[in-house]
Amino acid sequence: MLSRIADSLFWLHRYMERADGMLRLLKTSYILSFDKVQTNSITWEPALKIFTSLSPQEIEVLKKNDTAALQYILTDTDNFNSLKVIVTRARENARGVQDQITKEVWEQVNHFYHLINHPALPEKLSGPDAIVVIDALIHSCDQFCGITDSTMPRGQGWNYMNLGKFTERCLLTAEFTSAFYKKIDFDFTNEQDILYWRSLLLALSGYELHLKNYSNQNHNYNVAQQVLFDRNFPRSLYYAFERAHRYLLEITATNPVEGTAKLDRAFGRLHSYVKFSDLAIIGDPGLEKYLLIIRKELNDFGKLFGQIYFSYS
Amino acid sequence: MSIFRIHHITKYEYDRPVKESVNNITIYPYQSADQETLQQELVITGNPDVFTYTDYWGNKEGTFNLLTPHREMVIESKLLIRTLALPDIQVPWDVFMPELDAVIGSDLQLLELARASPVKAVSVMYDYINQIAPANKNITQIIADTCDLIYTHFTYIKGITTIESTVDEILEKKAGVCQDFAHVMLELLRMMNIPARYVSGYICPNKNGMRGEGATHAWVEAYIPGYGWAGIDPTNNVWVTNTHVRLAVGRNFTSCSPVKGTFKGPARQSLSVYVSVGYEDGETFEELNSVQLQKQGENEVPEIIIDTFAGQQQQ
Amino acid sequence: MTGDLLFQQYPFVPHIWDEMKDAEAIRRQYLSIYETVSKLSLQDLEKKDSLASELFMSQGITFTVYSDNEGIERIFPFDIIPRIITSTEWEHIESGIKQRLKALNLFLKDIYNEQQIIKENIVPAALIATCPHFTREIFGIQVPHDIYVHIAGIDLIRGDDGRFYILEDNLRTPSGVSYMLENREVTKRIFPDLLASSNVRMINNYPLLLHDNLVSLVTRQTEDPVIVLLTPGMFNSAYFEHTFLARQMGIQLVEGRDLLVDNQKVYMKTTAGLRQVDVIYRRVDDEFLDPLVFRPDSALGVPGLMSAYRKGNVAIVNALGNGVADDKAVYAYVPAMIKYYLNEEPILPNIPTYQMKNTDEREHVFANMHKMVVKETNQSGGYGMVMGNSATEVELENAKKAILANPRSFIAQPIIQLSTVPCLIDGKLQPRHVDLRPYALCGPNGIDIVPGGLTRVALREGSLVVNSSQGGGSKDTWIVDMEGGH
Repeated sequence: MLSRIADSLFWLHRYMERADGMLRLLKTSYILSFDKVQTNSITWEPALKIFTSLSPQEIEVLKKNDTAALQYILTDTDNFNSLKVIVTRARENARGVQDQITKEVWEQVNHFYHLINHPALPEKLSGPDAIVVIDALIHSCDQFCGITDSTMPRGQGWNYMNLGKFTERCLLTAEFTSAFYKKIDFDFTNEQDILYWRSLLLALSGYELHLKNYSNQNHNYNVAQQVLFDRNFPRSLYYAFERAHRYLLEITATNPVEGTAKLDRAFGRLHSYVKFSDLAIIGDPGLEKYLLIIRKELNDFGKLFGQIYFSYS
Repeated sequence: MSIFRIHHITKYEYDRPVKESVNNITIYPYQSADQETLQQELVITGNPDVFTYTDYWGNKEGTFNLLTPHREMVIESKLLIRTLALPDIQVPWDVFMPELDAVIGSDLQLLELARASPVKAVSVMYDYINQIAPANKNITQIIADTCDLIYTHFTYIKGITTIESTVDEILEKKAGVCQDFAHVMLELLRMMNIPARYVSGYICPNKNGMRGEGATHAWVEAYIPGYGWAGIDPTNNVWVTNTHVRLAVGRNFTSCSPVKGTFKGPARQSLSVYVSVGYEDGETFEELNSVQLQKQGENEVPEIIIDTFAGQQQQ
Repeated sequence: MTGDLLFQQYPFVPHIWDEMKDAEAIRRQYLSIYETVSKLSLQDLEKKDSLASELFMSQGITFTVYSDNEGIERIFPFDIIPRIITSTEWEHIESGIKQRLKALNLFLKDIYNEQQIIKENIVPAALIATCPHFTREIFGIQVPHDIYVHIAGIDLIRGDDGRFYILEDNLRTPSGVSYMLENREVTKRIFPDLLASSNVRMINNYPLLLHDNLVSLVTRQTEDPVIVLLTPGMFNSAYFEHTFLARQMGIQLVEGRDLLVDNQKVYMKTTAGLRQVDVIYRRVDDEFLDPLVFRPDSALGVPGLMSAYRKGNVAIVNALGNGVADDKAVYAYVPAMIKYYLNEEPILPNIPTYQMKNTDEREHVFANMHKMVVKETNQSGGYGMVMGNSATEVELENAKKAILANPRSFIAQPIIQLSTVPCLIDGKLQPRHVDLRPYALCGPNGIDIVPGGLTRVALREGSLVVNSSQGGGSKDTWIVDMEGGH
C-alpha cells in the first residue's frame, strides 16, 4: 500500500474519532451551560482546553460566552482544530483515497462535510436549535462508524484506519479524564456528587453503564476504575489500547520494515502500562502523572509510527 | 597554450537534516577543440553515482541524488586543463549583416539564439543600440562596440544583484557582476539579430588582474559567419582567448547554472562557493563567496511542537 | 406529444449538414433510432433523460468547477439520443487518423533527434524556434519503440459538405475517454434493446488495450512490473477520470509525492518500503513533471524523473515534448509531414489555416474577420478563441491588436459550420452542432482506435463551441455496421 494512502486512512479515522469525542463533550457542556446555579461550573472550560490552543486568559473570557465558545470550537476556521477544519481534513483524506474506500464511506464523509458547511449552521448554533445541530452531527458520526464497519473490506487499509481510530480514542479518554480529575486535584478520597461525574461519563457515553455496574458511592474511585480499566467499556483506556495494539500487530506483521521491531516494543511497553495496572498501583505516581506519561508516550509513538510508515512527504 | 589547475568547491549547509536531495551539475569542461581536459576529479558527499549526459546545447551534465538525511552537501571538482587558443584572436573584420542573415536562415539553434526575450525598458535598449550604430558596420565591430558600451556604462559591483535578476533590473541599476553584464550584452546582440549565447566558466589570471578572477565567471559568445562562435567578455572588455576556461553554453544563465538541486525537509540552506585557479607553476588566485539563496518552498514552516492534544495534526 | 411528432417537427436548416436528416428524409443509419423513439411518448423520453442524469450523479461522474476557492462538482451534460456514424464513414476516419499519427510520431522522433524535416525546409525552423512547446530538455532522449504519442485524442469536425476534417491534434494528455465509456454504459441502461439490435461496435475494451500497451513498455526483467497513473491530485478537474482509469486497469493511482528517484530509477513509497516503478501513465503536464528540469516551483512532479527517463529506466506515457506537434501553427504543416515521411496524400484534410506571421495571409484574414475564427496557438479547451461571426467590433479590433503584437501566437481559420445532430432539449428534438474525438492508442504492434469516441455537443442554439468548460455536453457515439441491418 502506498504510504500516502495508509497515512490518509489513518488520519481520516483519527479526525472522525476526534470529531465524535469533541461533539459528545460539547453536548454535555452545552446542557450544563443552562445550569448557571453552579458557580464553579465546568461548562466550556474542558472543551476549550482540550480542543483548542487558546491561552488560559483567552479561555477565561470565552468560557463565559456560550455561543462564542460553541462557534469557536465548531465552525471557526481560525481555530486550526475546529470541527469544521478537521472534518475538511478528513474529507480531503477520503477524497485522495477514493479508490481505496467504499462509495458508502465516501458519501458519508461527504455528507458530514456538507452538514458542517451548511450556510444556516452558524445562525442555528447561536439559537435554541444548537442542540439539534449537535445531535445531527453526532448522529452523522455514528453513521460513519456503522457504515465503515459494515462496508469496508478487512485488510491493510482497515488496519491503518482502526489503529488511527483507537489511538485517537486512547488520547481522548486520557484527556477527558485528566481534565475532570484536575478539578478535584486528582483526589480519590473526597466524594464528588454523581452530577459532577455525569458530565464526564456522558461525554464518554458511559453514564448508563456506570449506573448499572457501579455502586452509588465512592464515585471518584469508581469513575476512574470505569474509564481507565473497565474491559467491557468501549471508551476505556484498557479497551482502546487492546484494540489499537491488535491492529498495530497486524500492520507490523504484514509490513515488516526497518524499525517495526522498535515500534512493537514501544507500543507493547505502553500497553502493558495500562493492561497490568490498577488504581492501587497508580496511587503511587498519582493519576495526574500516570495520564501524563500515557499521553506523552502515545504522542511519541504516533511520531515514530508516522516516520516509519508515512514518510513520503 | 596554458595549463591551469582549478579547484571548485560548492558547499550547501542545512540547519536541519534534509533528505531526497536530487541535483544537476554543469561543472564539466565544455567539449571543444580549443580546450583539453587533462584530468578531472569529482568528490561529492556520500559518493553517489553521477549519471552524465550531453544536453541540447552540447554541454556535459551530471545528475545524482542523496536519499538519506544529511545536513551538508559538498561538491568538489579538481580540474587540470589545457587551453589551446592563441593569445590573440583572429576574428574577421569584413563580414556584414546580410551574410549573417543568410547563414541564420534555417538553422534552428542560430534562430533560437538570435531571438530576443521581451524586456520592458525597450527604449533604453534602443538608445544603446543607437549609440552602437550598427548600420553599415561589420559584425565583429558591432560585437566589439557592444562589449565596450557595456563595459563603459555599467559598474562592476558585487552583491547588488542576485542570480535571478532580470535584464530590466540590471538596466535600472546600471551595475552588477559578470552574469549581469553577459545578460545585457546577449539581449543587445539579439535585438540586433546577432546570435549570441551565454557562457559559464572560469577566468584565469594574467599579469593585469581581471575582474572575476578566482571565481566562476560568465561571458558571451557571438556568431560570426565564416568564423563561428567568438568569445567576448563584457566584464573585462576583452576578446576571449586562452585565459578563459568554458564549462557550458546556453541561451542564458538558467541553462548553464553550475549546480542546481532540490531536497525535502523544512530546512534553511546556505551556500558557499570556493574557487581557486592557478597556473601549473603554482601561482594561485582564490576566492570564497557566500551566496544569498532564495528560500526553497516551505522552508519557513516552524517545527511543530506536539505536546498539546489540539496540536496533534496530520503533517 | 408522441415521438413521431418530435421527428416531424425536426427542422431542416439549409447549408448545414445534419447527420440524421437530409432535405428529404431521415438517413438510413438513423432509422432504427427513429423506429424506437417514435413509438415512445415525450414523457418516456424525459424519464430516460432524468434516469441518465441520476446515473451520472450517483456514480460521481463529475468534474470540478472552481470558484471562490470552493469546488463545485457538476455532471457533464449528456444527451440521450446517440450519434451515429456508419462503418464506411468510420473506416475512412480510422485510416485517416492512423496515417496522421504515424506521421506525427515520425515528426516527433525527427524533431528531437536528426531534425531532417527542418534541414530540408519542409517545416520552417523559425516556427520551431518560437514554439513554446519545443522541449530542449528532452532532446536526444530515446523512447521505447520510438513511440511518442501513445494516446491521442484527435478532434474531427464535419463540414457542410459532409466531409470530416481534422480540427486539432491533441497529443499531450487528452482527456474525456471516461465519458466515452460511461456514456455507453448509460445508453445500455436507457436503450438496452435498441443497442442490442443495431449492430453497434463495442468500445469497452479501451482500458484493456491501454493496459496492454503500457505493459509493453516495461523493459525490466520482472514478474511483477509496476505501472502507475500519475495524477496532479484530487483538486484537478479530471480527477474522476484518473481514478476511473486506474480502477479499470487495476493500476496504482499515485501523486508526485508518492514517488522518488534514486540512481535514475523511480520508486513509489509504500508501507513495505520502496518499490520500483516501470511505467508512468501521467496526467500531469510536462512543465510540472520534474522540478529539477522544468518549473522549480512544481509540487506535482518528481525531482530527477527526467534522468530516469533519459536512462531508459522508466517509460512515460505520453512522451514529453509532444506539444511541438500539436501546436496550432505547426498543425498547418501536418499534411506536408504526411507527404514527407510517408509519401502519401493525406486521407483526412486539414482546415485551411492562415499563419499570422505571414503578412499576406494576415492581410487576407483582417479583410475577412467576420468569416474567421482566430485561435491562440498554445491555448486549448476553447480558451483564447475569437469567432468572427459572433464577436463584437471591439473584440475584433482587440484581436487584431493582439495579433499584431505577437503574430506567432495566433492562427486563423475560416469558420466551418459544424454538422448537427438531434438533441432532446426543452421537450423537442433540436439540431445542435457537434465534433468528434476518437481515442487512438499507439503500441508496438500498431495503432488501435476503439470504434466510437466522444461526441461533444454545443448545447446552446447556433453555438459552434463544444468544450465542456464553455457549456458543452456529450453524446454516446455509435459506429454501426449497415450491411447486416435494414
